[in-house]
Amino acid sequence: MRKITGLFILIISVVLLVSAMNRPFINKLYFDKYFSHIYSQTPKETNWYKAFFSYSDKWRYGDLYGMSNLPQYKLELELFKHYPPKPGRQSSNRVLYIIGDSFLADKVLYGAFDGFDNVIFLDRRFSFGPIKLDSTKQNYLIMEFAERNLNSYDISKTDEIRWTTNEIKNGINFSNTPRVGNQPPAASIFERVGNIIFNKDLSRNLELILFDNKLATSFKEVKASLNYNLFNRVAKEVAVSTDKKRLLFNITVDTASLQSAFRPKTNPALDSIVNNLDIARNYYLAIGFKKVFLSVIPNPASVYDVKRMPYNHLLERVEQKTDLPVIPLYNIFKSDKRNLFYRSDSHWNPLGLDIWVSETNKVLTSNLN
Amino acid sequence: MLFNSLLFLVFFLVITITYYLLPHKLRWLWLLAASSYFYMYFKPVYILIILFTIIVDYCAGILIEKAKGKTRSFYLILSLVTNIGVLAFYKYFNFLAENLNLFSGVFHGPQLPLLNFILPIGLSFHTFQAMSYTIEVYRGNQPAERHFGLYALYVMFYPQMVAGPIERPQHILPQLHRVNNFRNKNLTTGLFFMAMGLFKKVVIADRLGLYVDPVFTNPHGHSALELLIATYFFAFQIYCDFSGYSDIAIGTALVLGIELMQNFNFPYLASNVSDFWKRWHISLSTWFRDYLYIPLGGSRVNFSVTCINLLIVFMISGLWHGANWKYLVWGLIHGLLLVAYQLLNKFNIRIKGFVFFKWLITFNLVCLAWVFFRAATVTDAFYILNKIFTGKGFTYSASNLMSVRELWYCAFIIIALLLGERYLRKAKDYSNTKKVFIIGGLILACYFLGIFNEAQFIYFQF
Repeated sequence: MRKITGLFILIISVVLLVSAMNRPFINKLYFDKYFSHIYSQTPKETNWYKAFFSYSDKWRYGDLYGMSNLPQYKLELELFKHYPPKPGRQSSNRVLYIIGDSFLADKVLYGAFDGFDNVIFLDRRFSFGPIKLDSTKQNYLIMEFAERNLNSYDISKTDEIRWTTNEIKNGINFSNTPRVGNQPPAASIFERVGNIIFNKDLSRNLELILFDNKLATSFKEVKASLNYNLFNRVAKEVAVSTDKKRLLFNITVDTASLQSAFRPKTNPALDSIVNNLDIARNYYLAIGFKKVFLSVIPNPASVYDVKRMPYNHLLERVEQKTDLPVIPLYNIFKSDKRNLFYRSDSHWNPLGLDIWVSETNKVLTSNLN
Repeated sequence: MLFNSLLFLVFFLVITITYYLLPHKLRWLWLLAASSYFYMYFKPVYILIILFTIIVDYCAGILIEKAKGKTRSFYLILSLVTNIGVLAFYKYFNFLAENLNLFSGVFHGPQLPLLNFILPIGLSFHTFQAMSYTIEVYRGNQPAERHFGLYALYVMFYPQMVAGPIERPQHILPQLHRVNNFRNKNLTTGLFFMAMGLFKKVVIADRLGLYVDPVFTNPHGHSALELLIATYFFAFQIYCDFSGYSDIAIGTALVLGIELMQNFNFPYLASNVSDFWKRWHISLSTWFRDYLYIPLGGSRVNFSVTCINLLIVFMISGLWHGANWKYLVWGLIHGLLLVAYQLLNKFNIRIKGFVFFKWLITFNLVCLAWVFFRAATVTDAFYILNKIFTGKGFTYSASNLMSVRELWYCAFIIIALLLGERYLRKAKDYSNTKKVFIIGGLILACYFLGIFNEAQFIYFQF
């Protein structure tokens, strides 16, 4: 009996270890868990797969809940509405590009803006290759930033202005493929085996396989509640707002972080951000955009938690200092008494997006000729 | 691989179960492969360094045994020079070069280049364990090991390879030779030690670390009270971190049927500094006693030479911990405290009857020395002590690091540890059923009250 139990545990352990080393399997699992609450399962995937593997509470109730596991913030996220093209709308021969981040990623905005035939979103978080514009159309651009990302914006550390106008004209493919000169040398067989068996993420992969499910969630919630109620301690990535109504990204409140809304911002630091924005604007105008707009989405902490510490007013100061046309949002959000951000997620809710769409429309319309 | 990681749990299960399923003649090979994987997980290429010293010491052991007269000493010296050479190169070269460059810079002299590499993990531990082998063969206390695999396993046995206990060949090699059958008692006692070690690490050490680490990183931003709390907390953080590691190592080895030596014996209950060193990191202090202090003359020479020997041994012991002046000063402080203790004994000055005061003084002196060990630099350490003793700003405003309630919780758990560890340790002799319940309780406490932030064990860096 002892031997059978031992063999059983051994087989399970080996299967777990091999699964944790299997990168394609881990990637699929991660992807399935990430989107489990959004997309329905593929027909091949049975219910047991969904129950045991793809189900995840980590993303279902907001990224901040997923990190903190505090049950009082386990709130369903409202789905975003789509903005499809209005039927019967006449062609305007204009295209709107948005280079933005997670606030606008995965949103359907094709018909959100009145004077535009199409909206193309490029995610700044990933390398998106050279932008090849259709010269038969008028191309406009919105550079969208979450306030926390603008705080540390340094164009030299991005791929945004990597390609010259000539390179784009000479037909560089729109792809994420790095240039030939930058390609890393092919890994040897030892390196490849080493990367599999000595993978530094094995513990995290095992955690993903074993403890990202419904059963584990209840244990995680008890632990999180215990630590919060006894010691006022939450996961280090998360902070609770001073009115306890919402969770916040800790980097937006902790003054040790560059991205904090409460870290004093000196004028030279501000000049540096504005200078980076100018470089980006000049580049985009040079490659053919007709006009470039700036849109900065405030941190939830800057809107709802300014009693915590003196706010650095980065957003308003940048908007005043730059000569880019801006889509002003901070004061509108601040004066709106409704809740515009999820309480358990670091992003805005559908109402926040809707206000942004409406304000953006106003600014774009007044700037079209 | 960290003992407090999920990977280690799965690794441990696979290694242990397979170990008992294999016939005895193949077990050494399995354990050696497991130990190699465990070591290579940090940085695979460093296995070559350890392999090099293993080959040298294995050959040296056989040659010492075969040789006679001065040739024996020659082989011993060759082995010691190789081991110390590897240690010096990887651990002390940059320290030496930086200080020489500083000196040379004053006279606008040439500058030595600094080497850019990560220190191989646990280098000081397995080098010292390897040296104890050749020394014991030289002294005739241990026959040279003929089985290369078993000798390699003696150096690389994964539970204790990276942070001890630093074992002796007489204790370990016979255990590796013998047939270790599975025993329920070994399993439950081993798991009990592992659970206790994990409890100390994740429930106590890592929680204290949440406060201690940022305070010592930025001492200028904290008040005297905050620094004082951090000093006392660090004393328990390092104890729970290191003794927790040792407990897990002892437990892991015991499940495999191998008994490791005890490394800690309630050091903070010591009533004098000499007593402290009989209880703290026992495997290292006995190593220095047997292979350095006694060969230097120990206490058989005249009093002043004994005192000098103590200072030498403790300064080297300080430097063993790391290539930094702060460790040297930490060692020197302990050396001076021991000299002072010897002086009190020599002149028969004894504080009779006040055991509590003796304990209190010893504990506070040890804590004071820890400031040098933990501070980033010697200058920082002096700054911290100056601020504490001048008492500037005896207020607490670090609630962003730790709430007052959590401070009290930490204080409570420290007192509980001081008073209760002795009783908890006795549980190793309980029945298997009782032990299983205690293990279950400890694991639940680890999960619900533990901090799992992938914090390394402090002694890994040595």
